[in-house]
Amino acid sequence: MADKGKQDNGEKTGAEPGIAGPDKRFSEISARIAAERRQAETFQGETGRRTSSLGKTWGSAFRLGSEFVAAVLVGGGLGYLIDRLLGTLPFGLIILLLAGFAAGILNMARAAGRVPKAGDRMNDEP
Amino acid sequence: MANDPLHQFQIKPIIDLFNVGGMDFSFTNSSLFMVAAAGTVSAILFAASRSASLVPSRIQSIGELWYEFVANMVRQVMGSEGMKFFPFVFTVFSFVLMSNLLGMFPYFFTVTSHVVVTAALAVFIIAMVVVVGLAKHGLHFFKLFVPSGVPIAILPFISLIEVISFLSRPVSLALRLFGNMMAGHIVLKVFTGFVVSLGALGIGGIIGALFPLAMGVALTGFEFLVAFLQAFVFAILTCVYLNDALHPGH
Repeated sequence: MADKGKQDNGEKTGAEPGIAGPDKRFSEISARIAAERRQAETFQGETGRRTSSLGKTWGSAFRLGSEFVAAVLVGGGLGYLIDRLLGTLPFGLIILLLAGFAAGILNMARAAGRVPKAGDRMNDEP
Repeated sequence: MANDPLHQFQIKPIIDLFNVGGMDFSFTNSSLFMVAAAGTVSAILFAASRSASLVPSRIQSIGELWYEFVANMVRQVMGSEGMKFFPFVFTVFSFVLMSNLLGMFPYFFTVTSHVVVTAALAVFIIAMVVVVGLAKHGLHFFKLFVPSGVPIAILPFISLIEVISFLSRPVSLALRLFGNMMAGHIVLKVFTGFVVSLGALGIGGIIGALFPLAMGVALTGFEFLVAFLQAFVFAILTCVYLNDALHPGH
């Protein structure tokens, strides 16, 4: 939303020297579109850049928390399931809960763009 | 009962159909709003594409913006090759967005506030990732869980973490959407419920009720933001996960 306000301002100041001929205005807007495109292409991380900065921040905030919680839940659930099947109650739960914690940290680091994605290494070695 | 914040999530059968092996296949209010969401999306897009002109009408602009938004998202995350999955991503995004937005009407049911619905969507998406990955790369797909350049001594542990990380994807996808929608609607209901209870206390109560009323207005705006944002996050993560199956390169 903040971006939009800024854009509006930019448009206003751009429109102020309204005496400029249509050709000049056309080249101006082409340059601005090209700049916007270039910015869109330098795309980093997993989340899109098209959202406004507020949307992006909220989106990643919601994401980071749930990524961590989900991994811990899956780890704990998996450990409990293994324990139920093998009858080794506390041990599988403890070990896999810790592994789930580690996976949660990995998920968060990945969502924040600090660790390469799992898919990136499939082509490392033939 | 009127003040019960969980009352809005009750599932009531509208048309009793049949029971198979203890499973109830009735047409419920949840089913009704799923049909309504799909129907609304179809109706808007049909109206938008009915009379296409070079200078778009208002409804045509909505359709074009909608298409462009999802198409850009798919292209940015998956590249133009990923446009094969555009219809799927567009369907998922539109359904989730329309369900969230329909839920903002008073007395309407929010389909995405039930974990069954979001989990079914998430499991379907991850199943599709696995199927596409196996079809395109065969057993090479499982290299996702075996990092290269890791000492053999700690490889089993790293693999275990990677497997848990992969399995947690559908869980986080489902829980995030469900949690946000349910929590938002409960908070909204609780705050607006204060207005009614305080307003019954006479003149002092009516003045006091202005604060939760203001909060209710602010939260309604916030809920619209969340409704859109969660649909967006759901769709972009669908793209990210499909990209893992499609483009192992990057």
